[in-house]
Amino acid sequence: MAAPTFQRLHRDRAAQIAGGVLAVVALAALLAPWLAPFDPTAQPDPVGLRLAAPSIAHPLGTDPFSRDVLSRMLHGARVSLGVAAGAMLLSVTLGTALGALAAMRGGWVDSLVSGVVDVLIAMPRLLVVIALVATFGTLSPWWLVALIGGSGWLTTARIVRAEMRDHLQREYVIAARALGAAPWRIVWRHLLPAAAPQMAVAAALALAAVIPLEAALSFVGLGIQPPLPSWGNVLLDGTDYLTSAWWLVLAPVGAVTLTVGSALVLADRLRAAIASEAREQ
Amino acid sequence: MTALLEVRDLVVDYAARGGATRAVDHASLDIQRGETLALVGESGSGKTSLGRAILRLVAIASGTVRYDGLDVQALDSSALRAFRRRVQVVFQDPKASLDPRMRVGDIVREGIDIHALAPREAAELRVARLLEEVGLSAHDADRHPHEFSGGERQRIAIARALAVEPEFLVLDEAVSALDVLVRAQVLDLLARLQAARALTFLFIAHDLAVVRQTASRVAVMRAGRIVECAPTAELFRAPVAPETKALLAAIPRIAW
Repeated sequence: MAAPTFQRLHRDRAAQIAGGVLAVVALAALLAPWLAPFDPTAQPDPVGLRLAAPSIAHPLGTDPFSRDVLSRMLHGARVSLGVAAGAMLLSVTLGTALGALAAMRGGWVDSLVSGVVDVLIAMPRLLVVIALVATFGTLSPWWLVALIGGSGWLTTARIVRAEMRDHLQREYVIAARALGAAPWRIVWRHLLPAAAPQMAVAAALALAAVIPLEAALSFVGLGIQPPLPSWGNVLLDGTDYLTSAWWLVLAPVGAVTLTVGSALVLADRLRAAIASEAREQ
Repeated sequence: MTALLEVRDLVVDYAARGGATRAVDHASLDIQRGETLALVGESGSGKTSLGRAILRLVAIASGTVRYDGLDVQALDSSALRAFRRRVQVVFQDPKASLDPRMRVGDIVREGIDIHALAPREAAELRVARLLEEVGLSAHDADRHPHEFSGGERQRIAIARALAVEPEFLVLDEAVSALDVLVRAQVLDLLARLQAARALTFLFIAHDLAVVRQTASRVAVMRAGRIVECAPTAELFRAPVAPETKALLAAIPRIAW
């Protein structure tokens, strides 16, 4: 519905490439069971195949337990991106709901939401999440989604609130109020479509923030628990062999960098599209 | 005869940095059923705030607005819904007053949906008839506002207001942004609609030229106060307030 902004993005070369990369990564994650040449947890030969260098049979080599790194990366993408996508959806939904509530109700509700955002946004997210995990013990992937998503709504809430407050002043929203439109209708029919491009930016930024967060948690052993693979714990398995088996580190670091980089490029190009859209109006 | 709209001692304040700004300062006016009252004043004189207070779109500090005997401020939610059907508004800038992401048909239909005035197919038929009534085509329902000229957009805004079958329209500088030719066409449309639908108008404008043919009476506003209110011919012949004289002097001679 906010078509012009998204159409503009369609024609943007950098956005096309970034979107393509994300699509390929997402597809690889979805099709992991069919794409992966080996069982990601199988340890066929812990002695002979230990830390084998990349070859035709094992394009990304093997890890200290003789497991195929490519297969672990593909299955790890499922877990890592699944957690990331879930957490992103949760944080954007939560942030949108709270931002809309603050914008529509104003008064003390707005003060409360904005105040909570101002306080929480000053806290380092990784430390907060680590502290919570340390308190409650290791978590299932679902709890990880809840925790990472539940701590990430702040920026979305801020963006959505600002955007909706701006549009609430505009005559088309005042005209809807004059027609007798209920608050939910104004949000659903007018404000959400108006804020959609900004929400897409928030979603891309949330994705870019959440992927390294999951990787970091798994890397320090508080996230996804082995033998279930994730990009973070593939990296963890490789760090001891940084000098002797570089492929173990390169694969997860490369995957995280590529995915996060693409999400950031997409967010940036989306912002540029919104800005040029606004200039033309 | 009691007036359709009675505004008494209305005060509207806006919260601003370091205290409130008074937008409307003890304004009173009456509008009779079927007439056009013009509300004229320079920008910032409080015309728009007065209009929005009548529509219950801004909070009022004191005073009363009575519409058909009902205290507009005191309406409960179901009475307010009924009031919203009776009193509608058309704004100055049709670029800002139409949601750029919605199709014209959906924009015009919004009031019909809100008040559940017609089921789906009947609503579409109604939208088509409204578009034709304001001089557009039924096919325009599928297009977006940016595909139309300023005058056409203002016709869409008028169709949206008419969709709920109101009896009173606040025309908040509704023709001020249009160039002369288009303005004349829209004024002509409004006059026809007024006659056909027995509408009452509060016609807000910032100059007197546009008001002469359309209004039966003119109220002149300055700094939140109504400084003069008289039948149009009388006001043009013998202006009393200095603001009225200044506004009359500002009318380009060539127009007459």
